[in-house]
Amino acid sequence: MLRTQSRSVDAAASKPRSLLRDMRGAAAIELALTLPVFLALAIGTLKFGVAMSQYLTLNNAAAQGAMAFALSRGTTTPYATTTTAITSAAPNLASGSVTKTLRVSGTACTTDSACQTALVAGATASVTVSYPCDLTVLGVSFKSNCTLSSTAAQMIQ
Amino acid sequence: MKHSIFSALRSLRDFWRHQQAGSTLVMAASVMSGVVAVAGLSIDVGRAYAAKRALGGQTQAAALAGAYALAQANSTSGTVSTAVSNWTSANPVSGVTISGTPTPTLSCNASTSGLPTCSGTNPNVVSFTQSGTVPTYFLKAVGVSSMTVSATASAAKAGGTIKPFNIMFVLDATGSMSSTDSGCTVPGISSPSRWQCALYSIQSILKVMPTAQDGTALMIFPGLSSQYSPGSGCSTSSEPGSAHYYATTVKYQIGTTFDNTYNDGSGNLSTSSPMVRAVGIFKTSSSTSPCLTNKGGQGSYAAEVITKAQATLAATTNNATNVIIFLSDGDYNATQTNLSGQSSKVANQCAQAVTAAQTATAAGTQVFSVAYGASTSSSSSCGSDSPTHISACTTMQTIASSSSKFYSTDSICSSTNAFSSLPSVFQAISSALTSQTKPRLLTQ
Repeated sequence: MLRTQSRSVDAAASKPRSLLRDMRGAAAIELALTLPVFLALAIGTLKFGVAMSQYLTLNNAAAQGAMAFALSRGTTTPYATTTTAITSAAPNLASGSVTKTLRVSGTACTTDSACQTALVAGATASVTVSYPCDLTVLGVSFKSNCTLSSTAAQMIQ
Repeated sequence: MKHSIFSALRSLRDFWRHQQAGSTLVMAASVMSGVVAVAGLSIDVGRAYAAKRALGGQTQAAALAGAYALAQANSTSGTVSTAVSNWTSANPVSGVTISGTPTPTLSCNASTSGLPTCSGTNPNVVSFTQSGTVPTYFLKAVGVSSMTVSATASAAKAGGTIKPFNIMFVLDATGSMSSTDSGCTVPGISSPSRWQCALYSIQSILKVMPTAQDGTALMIFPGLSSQYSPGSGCSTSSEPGSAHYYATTVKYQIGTTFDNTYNDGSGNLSTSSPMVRAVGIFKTSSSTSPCLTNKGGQGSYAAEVITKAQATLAATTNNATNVIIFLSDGDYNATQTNLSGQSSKVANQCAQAVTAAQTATAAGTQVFSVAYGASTSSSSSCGSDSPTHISACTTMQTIASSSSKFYSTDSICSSTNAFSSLPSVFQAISSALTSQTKPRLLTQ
């Protein structure tokens, strides 16, 4: 066994050109070279697709939230109504990670009573919804602290 | 020619057969360019879809802003256009360049039920269409530098009645209502009493309510000893005497039905309406006297009348929204004799009234409470409430279904809906009822 190996090594050393011509395993090496790139592309496409889908959902949730917020003047629970509308408009997102910011004419309100007082007919109600996104492909983060965010506004009725 | 093609194909075959080194890399490069192109296309199309959704949301918001402007007094197509363009410029859609200067169009939609009435000169719907371009990143390579997105929305203005109301007025007709209300002005009566002011307030709300939609009924407490349905020839002597609370014969409701004949549609009260006969028509001249008086004489106790009002509303079958408008000073202090000897009802009379109202609210009735001269002192009002002492003002506040349905006429018993006079309170309740409809989006 040992003898056979050393003999073939000797043969290869004595014929360097034949080693260069040896095509065995070339496909494997080429595969090894191209696979990471393909994999990166495939995973990247997947991750980007997921993020895009989440962004579309966020867009929709923000619009629904703004609508609910603008229509909840005169009710006692505008904040709860709006946040519930956002959560139900984004069933595919982890509701705990969805950050919701409600603003009336640019000033944020975070409780039912504060929002109730702030809601005035004709003013602008806006809702910003944010969600963390993951654009890490094969250990490389293409955007650190990536956050998807969408804002929608409605006139308070 | 044929020979040369065959020879070329043959040499290509030989190349593949013998020159396999690097063939995977060549294939990978060619496939990768395709993959990159598809990924790029999906990125650009995905961005365009996101922009289209954002534009759709903004267009709807702009149409609703236009509908809001349309519902204002003296609105014109100009004011609506301004409102819409102000809105779109204040809330632009990021990444979309709007083409041209889109303007809203106004129209009359008479085919959708529940919308405000309209005509060619009095439109009720704002429609708004805008289109814009979204720049591309990858499709530029094939000559597509942008994609066009568009959105259309229509919104009807507020003011239509989606659901009719059954409105039950519940009036405090105890002796304390005879005191003068200096803050109230009633045409034809100098220094009117609280009772007269309350009747006048009901008259003013009856004038403007749409009879086609809303039925009204009236209960007073203390109740009367027999059913009273005042006709045209009523006199104060024809009104039955007051009865003990919980008496078997006690009748709280004036008349027996919900009346929807109270006005002629032009702001004039109809004297043939039983409701109008009961509350009268106060004018500077040729007034119609009310048939009802505040007889009192039985102390003050509200829990039973609220329960009866809710029972009457619950028995209606017209699928309307039930409303109780409850006017009182909130101080309940009937004696055991007044309560037909029911000893269990003597204690905590204010809390009993609150419980009765909360039961009505839980059943879906909107309870509006009007505190009329209610005391804020828990020691000088609601004397039977112990050990939990509450004031008359707090009682009235908690009788209302929500803080937005609590109204008051003075700053002592303050509310978010404090008005200087009782007729203003009823006007506010009237507009609160009609404004429960909001602008709405319509299908295209």
